[in-house]
Order: sequence, then C-alpha cells, then structure tokens
Amino acid sequence: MQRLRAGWMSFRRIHLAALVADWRRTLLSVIGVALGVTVVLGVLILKSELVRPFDSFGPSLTHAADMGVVEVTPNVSGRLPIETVNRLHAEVAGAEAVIPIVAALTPVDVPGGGTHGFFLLGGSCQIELLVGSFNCEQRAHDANPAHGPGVPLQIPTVIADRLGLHLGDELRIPGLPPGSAHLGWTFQEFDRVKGINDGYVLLAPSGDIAASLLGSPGYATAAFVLPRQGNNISAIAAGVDRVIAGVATAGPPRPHLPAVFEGATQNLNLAALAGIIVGVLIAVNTILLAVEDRRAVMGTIGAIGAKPVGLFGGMLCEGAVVGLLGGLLGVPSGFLLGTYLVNSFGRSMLAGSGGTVAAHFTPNLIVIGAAAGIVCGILAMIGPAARLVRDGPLASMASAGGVQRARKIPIWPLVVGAGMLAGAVVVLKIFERGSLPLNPGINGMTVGLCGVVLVTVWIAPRGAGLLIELLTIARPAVGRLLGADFRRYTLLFAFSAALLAESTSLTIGSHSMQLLGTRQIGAQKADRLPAALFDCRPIGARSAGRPAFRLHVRVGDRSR
Amino acid sequence: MLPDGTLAVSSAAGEAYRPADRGKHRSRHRLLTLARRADPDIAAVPSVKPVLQLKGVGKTYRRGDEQVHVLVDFDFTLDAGEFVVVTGPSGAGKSTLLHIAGGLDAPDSGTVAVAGQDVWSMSTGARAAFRRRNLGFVFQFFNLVPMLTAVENVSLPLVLDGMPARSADARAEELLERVGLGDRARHRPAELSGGQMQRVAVARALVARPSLILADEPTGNLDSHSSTEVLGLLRSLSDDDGAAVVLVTHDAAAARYGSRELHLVDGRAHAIDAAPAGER
Repeated sequence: MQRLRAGWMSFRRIHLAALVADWRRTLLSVIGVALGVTVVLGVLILKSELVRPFDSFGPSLTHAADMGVVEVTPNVSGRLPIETVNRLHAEVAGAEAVIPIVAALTPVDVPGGGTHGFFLLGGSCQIELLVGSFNCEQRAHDANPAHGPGVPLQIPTVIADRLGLHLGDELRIPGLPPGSAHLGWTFQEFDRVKGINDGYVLLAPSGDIAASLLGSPGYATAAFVLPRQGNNISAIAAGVDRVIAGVATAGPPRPHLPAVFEGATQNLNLAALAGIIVGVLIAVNTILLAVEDRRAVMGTIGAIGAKPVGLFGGMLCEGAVVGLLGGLLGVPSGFLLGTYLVNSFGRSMLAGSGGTVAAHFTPNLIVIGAAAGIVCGILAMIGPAARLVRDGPLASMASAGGVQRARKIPIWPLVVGAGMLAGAVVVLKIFERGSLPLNPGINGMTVGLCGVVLVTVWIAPRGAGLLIELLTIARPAVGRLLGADFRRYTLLFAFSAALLAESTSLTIGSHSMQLLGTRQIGAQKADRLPAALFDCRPIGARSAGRPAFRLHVRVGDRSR
Repeated sequence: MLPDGTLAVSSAAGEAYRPADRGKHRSRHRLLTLARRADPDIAAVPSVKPVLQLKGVGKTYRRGDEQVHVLVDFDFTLDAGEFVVVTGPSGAGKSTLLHIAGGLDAPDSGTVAVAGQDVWSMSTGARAAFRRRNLGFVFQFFNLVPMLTAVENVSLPLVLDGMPARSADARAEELLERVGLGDRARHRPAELSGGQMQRVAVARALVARPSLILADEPTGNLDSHSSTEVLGLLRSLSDDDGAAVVLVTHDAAAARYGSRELHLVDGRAHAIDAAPAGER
C-alpha cells in the first residue's frame, strides 16, 4: 500500500504535473489520440453494422437457446437438402431437436411507398427453442390468418405499427409476382426477435413456404441441432459430422454473409486495420511531439535518483492517461463518422440485399474508444520511454529534444514520385483505349498511388510549414507549438494518409475484381449448364398445375 | 574522545527523515567535520571510510576515428566533509570525473566507491536508489523540473524515495528558508532568476542529506554576484550538513572555497594545491 502511495505521489509530481502544466501540448496529444480513435471507431462501426443483418440466423437467432447449439451450414450457400435434415433427425443420438431454418434477407415494399429490408424466416414452431417462446404453436392452432393475397406471414406488432401495416395488407417482395404474400398475423413478443435485423422479421408459416418464397424448395438454409441436457456435446458433434460429411459443415452459430460479402469482409478488415494504423500513427506522432522535449527533464529526474523502471512505467501510465482522455473524446466523433460511413457507404453496399443498417450507439463504443486510446497512448510512449531507459539519464539530459533538431527531406521523393505519376498517367491513358490487358492497368494504378505517396511526403511538410508560419503570425503560442517538429509530424502524417489511400484503393480494387469475377462466372455458367435448368418463369408458374402455396395443408401440418 | 579515537559529539542527525542505514554514516560525517575544526589531524582517523574513492579509473571516448583518453588510470580519494574544487581546461575530463563518480557514466576500467560501496557493481535500479540517498547533484543549467514549484523541485528526491509528500515538502521548505528562498517556495523555475534557480538546485542536492555533493560548474551560467552567493551557500550548507563536495569549475575564484584543488589536464591530476588556511 505504501509503495502504491509512493508510486502515485511520484506519478502525480512527475507526470500528471507535466500534463497539467503543459496543457497545450496535452490538449494537442489528446486531440491527436481522439482523431485516431475517431478513425478506428468509424471503421469498426461500419464493419459491425454491415455484418449485423447477416448475423440474424446465426448468433442472433439462437440467443435464447442453451449453450452447445450446433449449426449445420451447407457447403453450397443456402442449399442444405431436406434429406440431410431428416437423416440428422434419425441418426444423431442425444439431440433434443434438429431445427431446419430457411432464412434470407429480402426487401419488402411497404404501404407508404418505401422499401424496407426484412429477414424472412421459416421453420417449425420449434424455432421457439432458439429465440424463446412467442406463442407460435397456440397461434397456429387457434388463430386463423387474416385474409389476403398469397401466403400469410407474421411480423411483430411493433414493426407493423411502425410501418403502418394492417392485417391482410399485401407484402410485396421484389422478385416475386404480385399477390405472393400478405400480413396474416402479428405477435406481441417483440423482444424474441428484436436482435434479428432489429426486429424486421417476416415469419413464414413453415420452412417449405419460406423455401418456396426464396426459390429454393427442398432445401433449408441451415439447421440447428440442440443437444439434450446432460449429453456429451462432442459425441453429438461427431454424429452430426458423420451425417453431413461432404454436404455441410458444423460448428457454433455464426453470421452468414453472402458469398460476395464473405470476400468483402477481408477488405473491410483491411480498411479497419488501415484505420487502426492511421489512428495509432496520428496518436504516436502527436504524443511523440509532446514528450520529445521532456527527455532532458526526465533525464534529470533519473539523475537525481528515479529508478529507470519507475520512469518507464510512469511514462507508459502518462501515455495511458492521455490516451484515455483522447479515446473518450474520440467516441462522439467516432460515432458521427461511423454514422456517416454507414449512411453513405453501408447502405449502398447493402442495396438490394434487403439488409438495413443504421449506426447504433452502445456503451461498448465507450469501452472500445477508451481501450483504443489507451493502446495508442501506450504505444506512443513505449518508444521515448524505452529510449530514456536505454540511453540513461546522462544522455537524456544532454538531449536537445525534438525542437532543435533540424531535419531535411531530400528532393528524390519528389523526382521519383513525379516520374512514377507521369508514367502511371501515360499507362492509364493507353489502358483507357483498351489496347492493354487488365494487369498493366492495375499495376499502373498502384505505381501512380506510390507516386502520390512520395510526392506527398515531399510536399506535405513544406505546405504545413507555410501554414504554420501563417498561424504563428496570428496565434504565436499555437504556431510555435505546432512548429516544434512539424516536419516529422507532417511526414508521418503524409505516410498515414497515403497508407489509407493505398488500402482504400486496394479494397475498392479487390471488390471490383470480385464483382467482375462473379459476373464472368455467371456468364460462363449460362454456357455450361443445360438449358433445362434455366427456368425464368415466376415461382407460381413453375409449380405447373398446382396451386402456388398449399397453405391450408401446411399450416395444419405444423407440429413440433 | 571515545575509545576508538573518534570524538563524542551529539549529532543533529535523524530529525525528520533518513534511511536507517545512513544514520550512522551521517553522524560520522558530522562528527568528523566538527572534529576537523577542532584538530586538522583528525582527518587521519582510520575508522572513517572515504566518502569517494576512485581507483585506477579510465575512460575513453571515440571522436570520429580518434580515441580520446578522458581519464587515465585515475586515483582519487575524498574524505567526509571535504570540499574539493576540480579545475582544468575544457576537455580535461572534469565533468566526466563527476559523472563517473555520480554513477551516471560508467568507467572503462577501475572502481568507484561512494561511502564504501562500489557504485558500478550495483544494478541500474539499485544505483538510482543509491544516488537518491547518497548523492546530491548541482548542474550548470540548474536542471530544475519546469512544471514543478521550487518546493516540489526540492522535495522531489524525497518523494521518489517514498517519503510522504507533506513531510517531504516540509523538509524542502526548511531548506528553501535556509537558502533564502522561503518566499519563493511556490514559484515555478520560470519565475525565478538564474541565481535563485541555482539556489533551489543546491537545496535539492542537500534535501536527502547526502554524503557527497557533486557540482558541475554551478556558477557557469551565473553573474559574479550570484556566483559568489551560490558558492558561499554551497559551502556553508555542506559544512553544516557535513557533506563532502566535489565542485567542477572554470572559475579560478571558486578555488578559494575548497579545502583543496585538483587540477586536471588530459585526464590526469596534475596539481593538487592546498587551499588557503582557514578557508575550510
């Protein structure tokens, strides 16, 4: 306790006092960390919100189930044969239930004239074992669906009220013929499904009907195996694996991204990583700037008897304090950036999928922001702290700090960068005419970006220097502060910006390539597959001679 | 006179804070200082260890392709309560000597013992703690912590040593009173003159009652009036507390404050002059 108190006192006198006394620098560091955390949070919000709709028949669907639920996911997306489900029923000993689910995101035209994304979900009333009881079976037996065109679907009462939907209203699903579905029931238990696509859920009366609506009769999207209490989960998993070998894989419930999105996740991770790197770089730059000039003071404190380990720990704690403040300051701005990214990019990325995204503020963001800030602060401090310990007090005392060290950026980045840019422009102009294959075009773009990086590295510090000179005339105190080490600062900042530009370009490039690839594969499929498989008629017409949905039979058939 | 030959004089030691292991040593310094005043031959009392002992110390720096021998097989002994002034031309090794003696710069060869303990055989952390408790530093550029007030600067070594802030500040205020800066205790270094800053630095060097004070050109940045003031202060305070002092200076006038003068040329002690009688 006494040691802690002594440590706190030293920290207060040496480090906190410095932060308070040099409040302008501290503020600059805090703002730097906040900028970094803003980038990190913005990208993370975009990523998490994009994944959220596809989480709906994974973890969100099984939130009420006991631990140990095994999800069976077909190897071909959305194509788990019903025969396999039946075999799971019959052959997996120790399973309490095997619940096939047909699920997909789909846009639905709502009466007001707009479109809203819904999660269409079909299965037996055993779904209650996954999401919790919502009176499904009783309603199926006791309450007739409202009259309307096509299949009766149910949605939460809250959502129906929100969209102005009434019982019997037609639910138009783009891609299906008019009159395919209507609102048959509503249910009050919103909390059962509010985690699934924010509660925008359409429940089909059965898995078959949902499969028909989604154009994949005879198949389920996935199946969930619930182990009976007290049974060995690994034995059940082994049984499942035996049945589904070659057809599907089994594991804990997970988000189900569409095929194109699976690849896009990597790009989003790359963008998030770039955001994190940029955030850390900005924070490191600013904090380095703030602590560099204090090396001599820290050296003096070391000379008069502070232990190196104490100074090292104190500096890391100081970084953590600055990082924490910056992290907390970055939470609101990070959320705003995330909201902007979700509204501008997220919605366009999900357009047509039926998925709806909106930035949600959760307390987790505060924790993530604080943690990201602390990490940034500590990472920024590790360098100077380690240097202080490595050099020893004498060398640190003799150091002049960042202020007096002149740095000169050589001319070669400008020359080489300009050359690369000019070369890239020439190659891309030729590429535009179509006389070059794709590879030179992509490589030309990359070379051009490298040129931008090098030119920025040369120009940015000089431009910043001019701006800082102007600022110094208007606000000398702020100008001198920024001017202390602006060359290194802007140099690193230029690298950060260039890194972000490069990774964004890679992300866009790889996404475009994926779409191109998907289109090409689609075109090739048409040539390879027999014509009999191409039946573009509406679903109702495909079931020649039979009613589109034999609803009266299926509703009666539903049982646990 | 005690049976072992030392004088029995009551000590002022232990009045506020002091690591237990230094209490005896401090008392010995005090005893020796008082005893010396009574009898100059008392320095030869065999039971007292030298405060600082350098044996065969060598230090070489590399400047480009050239090897510069800053200290060559250097021997030096400083007894408790002594005030030695080290002079010599630039590059003679004066500051290096001070840094090596203070545990700030490692010698290439030889041993350095402060209060009987080999400074360079300790771990880095132990050496820092040893410096905190046994050594006081006064630098040419004051090297005060700019964001702390005068009293906080002075109490810093005690706070680092784990002493409660209130007690440390009380001891610091007492020392600031002694250096004539009681009314400037709550001022930051930027609000003090050069002479005042150096007086704060002297107070900081003495606050932990060290056995040895190392002053590296403490008047190098001061005008003549402030220089006289600081040197007088350093001498009288170290005298009162019984601390030995090694003072490196270019200032010829500073030599008269020492009990002896050590003249360094090319890393070797060339001349050791006795200080004018009665100065110490």
